[in-house]
Amino acid sequence: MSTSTATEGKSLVRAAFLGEKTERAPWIPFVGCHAATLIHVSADEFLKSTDLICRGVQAAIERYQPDGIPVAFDLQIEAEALGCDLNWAKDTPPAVTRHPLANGTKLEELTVPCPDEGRIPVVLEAAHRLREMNPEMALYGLITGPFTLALHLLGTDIFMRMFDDPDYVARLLEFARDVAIAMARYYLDAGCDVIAVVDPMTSQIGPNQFVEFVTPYVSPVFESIHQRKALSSFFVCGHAQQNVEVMCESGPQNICVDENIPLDFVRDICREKGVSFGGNLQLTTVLLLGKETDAEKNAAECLAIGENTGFTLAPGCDIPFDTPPENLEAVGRLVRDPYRQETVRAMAHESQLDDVLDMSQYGRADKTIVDIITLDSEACAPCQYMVEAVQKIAPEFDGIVEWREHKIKYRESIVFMTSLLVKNVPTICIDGQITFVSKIPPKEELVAAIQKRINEKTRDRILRKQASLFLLGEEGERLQQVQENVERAITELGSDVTLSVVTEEDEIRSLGVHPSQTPAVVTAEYRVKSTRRVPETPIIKEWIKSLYH
Amino acid sequence: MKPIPVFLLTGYLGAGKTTLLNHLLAQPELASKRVALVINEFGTLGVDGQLVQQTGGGVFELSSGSLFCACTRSGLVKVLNQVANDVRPDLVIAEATGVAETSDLYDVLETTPLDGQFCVRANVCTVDGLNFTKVLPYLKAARNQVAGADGLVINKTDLLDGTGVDRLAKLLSEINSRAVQALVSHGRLDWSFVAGLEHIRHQAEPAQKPPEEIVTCSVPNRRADRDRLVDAIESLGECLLRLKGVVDFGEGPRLVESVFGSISERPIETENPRYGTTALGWKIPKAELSKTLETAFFPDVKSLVQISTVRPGFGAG
Repeated sequence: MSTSTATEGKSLVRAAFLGEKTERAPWIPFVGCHAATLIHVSADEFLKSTDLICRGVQAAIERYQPDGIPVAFDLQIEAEALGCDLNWAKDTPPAVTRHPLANGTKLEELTVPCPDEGRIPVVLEAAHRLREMNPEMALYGLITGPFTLALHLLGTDIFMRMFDDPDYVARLLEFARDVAIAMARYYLDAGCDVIAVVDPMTSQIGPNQFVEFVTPYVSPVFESIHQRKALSSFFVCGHAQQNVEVMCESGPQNICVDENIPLDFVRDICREKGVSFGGNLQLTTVLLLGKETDAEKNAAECLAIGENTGFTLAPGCDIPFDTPPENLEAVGRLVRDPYRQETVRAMAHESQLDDVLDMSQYGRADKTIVDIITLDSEACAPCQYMVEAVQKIAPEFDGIVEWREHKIKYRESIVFMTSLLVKNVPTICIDGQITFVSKIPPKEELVAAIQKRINEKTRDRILRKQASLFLLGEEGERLQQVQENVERAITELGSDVTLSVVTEEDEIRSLGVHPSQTPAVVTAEYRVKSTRRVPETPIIKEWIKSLYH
Repeated sequence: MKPIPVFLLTGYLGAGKTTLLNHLLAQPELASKRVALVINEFGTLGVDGQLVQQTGGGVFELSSGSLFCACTRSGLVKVLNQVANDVRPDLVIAEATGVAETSDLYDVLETTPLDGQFCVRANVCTVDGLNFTKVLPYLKAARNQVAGADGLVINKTDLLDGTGVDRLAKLLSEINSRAVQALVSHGRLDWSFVAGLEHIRHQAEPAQKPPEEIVTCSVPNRRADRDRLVDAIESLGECLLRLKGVVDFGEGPRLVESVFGSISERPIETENPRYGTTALGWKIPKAELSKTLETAFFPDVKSLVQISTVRPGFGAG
């Protein structure tokens, strides 16, 4: 196995397709009608217009930073050109509603569409323009596989015809094969680098039927692509696990699957067969309905399985229309950031925690606490710099500030991190407040932030402190003089101090003073640390420590 | 809020789901309820709009056509969300395409934001009595839909003889032994059958290998001996689901068909017919099925002349 030096775009995609180890996995978002949302048009308008396709796909390229992207994801283009009626929708690709061969048209009447029929010229012109605008991008031309096209033309009746009239089915598939070969040629002439044969209906049949009804018709398509020195991919979405092996044996350089098939299962078979593989970000639960962190987590899982060897990172199929762009942007960033991938994997356990701490009372200790949450400062450069930044300024706050590192490779640190609502590492929290995220703060900024917190605490301390003054002694002129002085001091300071006069000898002794030592003044301080909550042990420890300082 | 009960209606295209559904909707038990229909096979169902209108729940058609894979699930999630929040029907009848895996429907119902809003009350699979065995070897979903059902409705029983119905019922119970079966014609099913079903979610095994019970084999030879072919078909018994072929018994091309043991033949008038016979076997090794049928055929040698005892044709012809 060779290692590629390619870093981006079509050279990276080519290296991955050829099974090489790559610096990172190429990212191929299958942006179909989802691109319409980026330019605020509906799916039906989008898929009928070269201009809109170009604008939408270009917007996707700019936002998602892919290495490759399809020109269009619409498995009805060939079917429409061959006479199928379509039902259009605002937020999905169209669907075939009428099958010509089931409604009177004879197979012999069908001819392979020319490049100027139906919407074929719309997508070919879009391919041509996108090629010019993005010379280094791997442009994918998606064509409908022969089996799925046959189904579009005949309907699901094909499954009965397989028994009743296998010769007819064979002739139909031959025709569909010829259409696929022609479409591949059209896309390659328009400048595409990769031809993806998308044949989802093959997931409906078993491997024996695949070998009989798919392989003989799809293999020539791949051969025609390779003769042009272009790259070939075989997409089958759905429950196709039983066919992964025969898919590899049908001749593509790459196969792509959706979330219905475990990616490691695909990897193992593909490696054995010498075929590269791609997939399989979850479309609905993660990309459509999940958050950025969910998308990152799923992508990191796929990347770990792919091992950057003969692997392309992609969603399982056509991205749903309303997928939040932020989720795809997050994947685009993650695929280029090995450090972020490691962090995401380490944080993957977060959702399983059930012992998150209540940190609402954190940071009330006398000392200011600086917590640095890292991956591991001994193994990770940014984490090391973050820790060093704090280490350097710590002596300036000796006795006032305490700092410590929490490495999230340890579970208790993940608990701590989750409890403080920290999402990124490295992060500096000051008294439980997220202050610096991922960025190494300059010395002045860090010092200023810590000093600010110290000032806040001092102010709080003054405002919240309660104290008492006890005047001890016999009633008389001397005790009265002390009392007048104390009252004047309290008034001039504006302090909230309770004054008590103690004349009983037993009470005087209980305050640690012998009656012969009076008049005496004793001060006592009370500080409220917690109300109506159950403070956590780590927090109480800080309070106790402060009593001895 | 109580989850909305969902009745899943599955079955291959042409099994009679439409007729069955219209028949159910016309019955008083459903006519008095607010029923929402979710249709996954656009334009082909032909649900009686008037009947649906009377229920007040509405029809929700998905535009994904007959494809069902991960990329089409979001549309179903959207529709069901709308049904749950805006319609709040008494029940939902969800019609799955003939190629859908019912496990996918469960996955959708359990997807946030739908989780907890629906519960599957029963899974009913309509089986085309006449044609089911034709698609069974080729279409995975045909078998899986039967395997996952709580109730199996064998439709078109008027087009089968008693033996055929019994054989099919036995075949279905071998695929799914727990499902309750109903024998109907023209989709005439009582709602009480559906309402009386107990729902058990079927946990399908990972589909790494195809089911081993079904085999197909083809014999391309032209010339056959009628007696030996009859004997072969009879000896295969329940292991032969169907057979269809164009053969020459010495009288020119004849179309021979066998369904659940019944045998028929008729002449073919085509000028250059393609000779060959295809058989679907059940729980029989493919090699044994081939070998048994091949005993009826002669090697394809052009100059061979075979003299055999000619029996009158069997069945309709």
